[in-house]
Amino acid sequence: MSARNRQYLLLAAGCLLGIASYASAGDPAPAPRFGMLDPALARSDYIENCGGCHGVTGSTAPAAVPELRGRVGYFLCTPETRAYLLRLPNVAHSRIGDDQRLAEVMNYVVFVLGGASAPPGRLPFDGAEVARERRHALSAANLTDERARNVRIVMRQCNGPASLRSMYDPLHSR
Amino acid sequence: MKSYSGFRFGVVAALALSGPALYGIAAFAPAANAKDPNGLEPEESDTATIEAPQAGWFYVRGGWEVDGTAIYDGKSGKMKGIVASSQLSDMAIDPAGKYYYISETIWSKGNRGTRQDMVSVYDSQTLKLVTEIPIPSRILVDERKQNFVLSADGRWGFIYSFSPAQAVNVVDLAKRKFVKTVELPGCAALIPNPGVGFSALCSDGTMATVTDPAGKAAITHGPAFFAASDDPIFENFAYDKAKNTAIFVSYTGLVYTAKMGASPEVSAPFSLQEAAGYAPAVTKPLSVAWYPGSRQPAAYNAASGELFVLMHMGEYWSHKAFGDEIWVLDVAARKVVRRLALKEPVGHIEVTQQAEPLIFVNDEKSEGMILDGRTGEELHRIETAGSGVISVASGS
Repeated sequence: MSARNRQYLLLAAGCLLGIASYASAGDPAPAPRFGMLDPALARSDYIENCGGCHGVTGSTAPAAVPELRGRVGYFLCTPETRAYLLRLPNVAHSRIGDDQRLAEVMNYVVFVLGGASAPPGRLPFDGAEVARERRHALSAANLTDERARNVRIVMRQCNGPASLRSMYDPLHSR
Repeated sequence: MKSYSGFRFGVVAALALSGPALYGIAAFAPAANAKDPNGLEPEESDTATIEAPQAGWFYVRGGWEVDGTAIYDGKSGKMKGIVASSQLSDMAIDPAGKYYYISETIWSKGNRGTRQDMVSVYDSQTLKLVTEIPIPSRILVDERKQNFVLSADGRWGFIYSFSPAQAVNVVDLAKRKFVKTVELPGCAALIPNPGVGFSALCSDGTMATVTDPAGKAAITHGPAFFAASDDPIFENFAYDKAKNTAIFVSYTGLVYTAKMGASPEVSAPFSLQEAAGYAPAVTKPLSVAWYPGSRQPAAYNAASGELFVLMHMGEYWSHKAFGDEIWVLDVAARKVVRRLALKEPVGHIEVTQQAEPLIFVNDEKSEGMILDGRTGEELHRIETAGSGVISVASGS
């Protein structure tokens, strides 16, 4: 199935569920919300490419996987911590070669799964930013150390909770 | 009481058989040696031992539902013993032939309880457990050779971990101690790299090389040479010790060779199908051709420089289909020199490192077949041989 066909199918499924009713035939092109022209595709891309470990709803606690739900938005804090998200090897090396499409997946992650955790006023990712950062994948780094370093920045500059140091927040995870 | 004392003498005699005091003790224990008038012989308990790993031996995993790795002598087709390998485990063979190493994960109460990750060390001649080396984690997949590789001198063990952060656990097998975890983001499929450390294949199409893994563990990446999304490489690589060269096959049948070292050099690939006189196979859907496939699709005999590849007719992305033919590729000449038809499709292939190699193949029903490496003639057929991955003592 081509990506385009799949996109239509997903949109159709979304319409049936009332999720993407704005995209039904005849409507003018929707304004992008949280940097997503196609939120249904961004969500399905997330589930297909990331959800296996991170969970369909962004949490697989108590597995040793960083919990995204209600937390990942904090990393929009500074240009450096934003870049960290895009340079994670499984993001940068994603099978999703199209930079704009990958930007939409990441916007789904930080704004939808991240919920209220994104600091106010942060712009969504766009294709140009993804194209720039994915060339600098963290493929020769210790990711545990890199994550800890970025969490310190987020805690210092954007009031990130100390629980970010852990993979998940035991008090708030399911 | 008579039978009791007779039994006791029998035990003493049996114990004495292996000791230097055999004749002295036996003189006081005539009952054990006496011929029974009914032709019955008292059974004596002993511990059998086997030789150190031999060039003509195959190691065949039971499969997902059957624990243990059976050792078969390729020439006779007879079983020599079983190495205790649990369901979630990988085996590596000590290059000095003294030990079998099983990197495994078990839980204290079977399917629950405390998770325990370790390298279990077995004596190669008694198959008895020597010791366990605890490690922090490992990937929970069974029987993949590339998840547990050893350094050429047998000193270091490298165990792939996927927690799901990708990493490699380094174990000092001489001191029998876990040393450290080296994070290796975006990479998998470990490849030995003697004198350097180890290498691995990565999602950006590069090969990563970890230099001095037990020390500073510096990671370098070579240039991208394959497309992980479009035409991936089978994780089941071959390795030529003498030439220090790794050989890879992609899903479409591209063959890459990599001269290992601090900066491995990967050759331009060539097509396996072209080497057999066909057009190269492609990734385009509905394009039917011979493709490599199965769970363990390739084996290599370093003496002849021949790669034995399981092939089937299909289209791209049929890489799990079992093989109907073995294509024997002369890697240096880039020519398929023999095509050996199989009586039934098989899922794993391995070949001995002898000058006149033997092939072992097995299928889903655990049927094992030992074939002549030159002609493909079936020499032995072994029922319930094991349906899992196959290893040999040296080489790939």
